Amino acid sequence: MLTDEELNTIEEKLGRTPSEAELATLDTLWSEHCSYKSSKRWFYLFNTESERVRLGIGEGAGLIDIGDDYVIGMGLESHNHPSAVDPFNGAATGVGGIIRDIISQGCKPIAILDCLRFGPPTTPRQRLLLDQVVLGISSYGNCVGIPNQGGDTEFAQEFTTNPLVNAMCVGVAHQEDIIRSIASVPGHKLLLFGSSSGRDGIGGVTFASEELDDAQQENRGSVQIGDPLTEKVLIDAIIELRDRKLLSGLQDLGGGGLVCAAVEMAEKGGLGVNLDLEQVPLREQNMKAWEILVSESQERMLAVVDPTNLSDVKRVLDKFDLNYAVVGEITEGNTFEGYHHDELQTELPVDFTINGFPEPKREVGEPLINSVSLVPRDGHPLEVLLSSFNLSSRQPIYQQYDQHVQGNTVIGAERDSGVILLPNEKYLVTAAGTNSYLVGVAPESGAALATLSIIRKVIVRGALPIGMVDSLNAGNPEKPSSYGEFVSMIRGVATVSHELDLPVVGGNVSLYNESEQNGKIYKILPSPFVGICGLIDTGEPIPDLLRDDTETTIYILGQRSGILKGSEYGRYYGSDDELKIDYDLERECMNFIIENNDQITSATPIGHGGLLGTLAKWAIQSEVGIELESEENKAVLYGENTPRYLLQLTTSQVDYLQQENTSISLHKIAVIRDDATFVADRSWSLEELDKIWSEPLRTAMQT
Amino acid sequence: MQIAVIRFPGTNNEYETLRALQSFDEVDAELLEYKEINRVDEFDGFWLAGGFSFADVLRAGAIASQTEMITEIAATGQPVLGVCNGFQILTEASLLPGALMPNDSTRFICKWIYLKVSDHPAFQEVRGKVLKLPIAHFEGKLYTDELPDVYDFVRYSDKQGNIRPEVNPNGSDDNIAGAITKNHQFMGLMPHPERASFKHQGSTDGRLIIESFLTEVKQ
Repeated sequence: MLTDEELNTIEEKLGRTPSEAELATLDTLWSEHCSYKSSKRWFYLFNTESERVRLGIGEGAGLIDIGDDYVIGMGLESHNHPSAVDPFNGAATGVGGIIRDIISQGCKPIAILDCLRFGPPTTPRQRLLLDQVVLGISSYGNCVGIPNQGGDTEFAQEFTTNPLVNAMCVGVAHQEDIIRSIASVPGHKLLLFGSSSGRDGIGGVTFASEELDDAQQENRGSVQIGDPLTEKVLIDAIIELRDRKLLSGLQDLGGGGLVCAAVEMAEKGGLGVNLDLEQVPLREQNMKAWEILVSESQERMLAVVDPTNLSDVKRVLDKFDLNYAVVGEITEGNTFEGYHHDELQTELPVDFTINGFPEPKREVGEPLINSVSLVPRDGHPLEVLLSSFNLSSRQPIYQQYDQHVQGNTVIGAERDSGVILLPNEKYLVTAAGTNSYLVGVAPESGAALATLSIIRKVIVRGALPIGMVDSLNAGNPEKPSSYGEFVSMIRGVATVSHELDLPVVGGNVSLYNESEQNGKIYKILPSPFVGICGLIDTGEPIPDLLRDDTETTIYILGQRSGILKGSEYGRYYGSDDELKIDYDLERECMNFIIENNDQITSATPIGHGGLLGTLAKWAIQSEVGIELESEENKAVLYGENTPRYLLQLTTSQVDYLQQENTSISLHKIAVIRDDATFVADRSWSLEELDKIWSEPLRTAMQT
Repeated sequence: MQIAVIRFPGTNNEYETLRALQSFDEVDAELLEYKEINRVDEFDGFWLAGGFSFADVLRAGAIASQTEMITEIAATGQPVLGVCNGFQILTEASLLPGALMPNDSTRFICKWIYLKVSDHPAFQEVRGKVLKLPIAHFEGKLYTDELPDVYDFVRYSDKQGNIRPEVNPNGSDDNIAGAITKNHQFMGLMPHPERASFKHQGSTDGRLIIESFLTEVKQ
């Protein structure tokens, strides 16, 4: 809702009382979701440049050069509030929205990843949320035909009332096929195509910019309904329009609907825009001008078309049986004029409509997070960790996603990172996620370390990280402590972008993930999701699974020990150490792995669960027995968040690597066994460990 | 030989299928839109690719099975391979018997599985072999009272080729993953040979099945 200050600004600027349609327009475009009014002021912190960046923050997707005249497009967005109210449709349309952001730039979507947060799946409500969100993503993504490449899922009490559903999409295009979301020539027509417009999703962005409360059920009308078949046909049609160079500009209708797409594209071109709302194909009767402007019905695109191409464009859309209508025109000047029944409904300066809001004052307070520790059940710490919801097998989730459609998948969703063969015969490696508990423990350094942990998943395949997108999920920015958390985590992510020369090319901010129920405040753990794309320029991906070969040995590359604070172990058993970041060693390990990608038998980064947790998961998934060589202290066994990787090496590989790289340290840590057992301070059969690891989510999801 | 990969609205395996087919020297494969029925005579064989034809409304493959395209290609007498949604379309059209019902888990299943090939004459080159292919479907449980005029040619098995209930991913009758009519014209398969045709995909076993299909097309 517009604030009093914003209303005064509008009346002063216009010199009159705004119309209903104008109020709806400004309410939408000045919402937190569209305007980034609380967050934009911090974006300067990010490193946004590299030799490869072709398009940075500001449009649907960031574009990055991958050589051979190809670019990849990447984007990451939240769909939290809709998923809390209607988990199936909210999650499905979240996937749909980010896919359209990618095709808006002319990229063919080639990978989906998603980052999910729920309360522990021990209650019927949380199990339903988990089940329906996964089903929503699965039914939409599978139907559109884009392989799922992973992401992450975590569970914590703090997400019980505010689950998080963030989706990432990556696409690929030939350099010359890139489409921009800009209208730069007066006289060009605006062509709306795809689904018709209804009342679904009206006020969606305003809804996303407020706290959820006890009355959230009433907001069901703010959730959109998805239609993946239309989305698939949209992609096919846009690829053909793109290949025939028929479009001058393109933007999807996401948050803020038609008015947002039309006015944003005009503003980027420094021009005005006219809309004739009567031309918009509607699926409901008697819709008012303001409703047509801000409807968030799904699967709609707005194209900027040179009038000489119009008949060709229509012919393509006819071939695909898609609805379309010319709904407006780009004009000289700076005015957004909206007509309905020949009456002028809006007359607003374009730049004012996008940027005219008074920047709200926000107070950066001390973060106030009470990260909940957990009580371990009896048993060996390895068993406790493997059976915790955060570490247990994600198979019941990923098995519901098509990971191989399009035929380019090298590694699917269930390992460290996904790997896809690109059209230029190079490999794309992707990973997405964060570590919400760690960020809760220390918002700034935690955000940096969590980001590094995702980057390591890409590096470990031998890929150079080339682009990052982020989605910053936090509480109510009007509360100083919540805003302080937000600012801390943006600083953490931004520092990594500079230290690793990794440009941030897009992102999203989701605030107000805080709610009040029965007078009690529920606030999420701040969650700065990052999506990382890496490129393997020469050679093959380093294998992700162990080779069954007793002649090989497992080494730790990098720091021998980890940190217990903020680790999964620390969450159960406590810790007395401090977080530390060693960027020099991070870079050194990165360069070592990338340069020697043909000299490593297989590798995995030490992540959740520390050395022992990672080794055990590696053994289970590879079906190869492992024996730890020596007794180690807790920080070595269970610590996380230092630059350390596990490498499986043959004797000749070890000799080669140690000769070539005298500065880097390799610590021998484990050997391959010739039977299916896992041996540390006690021994388990792999079958036994697999059961412990697989059971929790299988039970929660009843699969 | 000319092979058509047929696309309905919602088909989404068309491009990897084309790529797999085109990697065979003797094959000339192209996309055929479901409305282009006047072009059917140009082809020696047809591949119904996977996906969600017409969004699988009503039942998987139900709408596509009622299109003129299916009637026309059946009338040519040329071999038709239906993979995943294509198999569902063929059972919905009663060109293969039985019904493909939702998986026992009532969830979509994407995973790598092993298949044991039977001794059907259409598969002489791969008879008795164990193949590794991926599946990705919601409705893959073949339900049928009997298989009168058809032969099940591949069944879900373990790595060693043992056909056991524990390795049945979806509850399909007798672990059946694929079926072929006695006259060899219609072949249906839930696993995806086109996703196991190149080294980068992790298995090239799918090529053996495609070769068997191509042998049928040649005859």
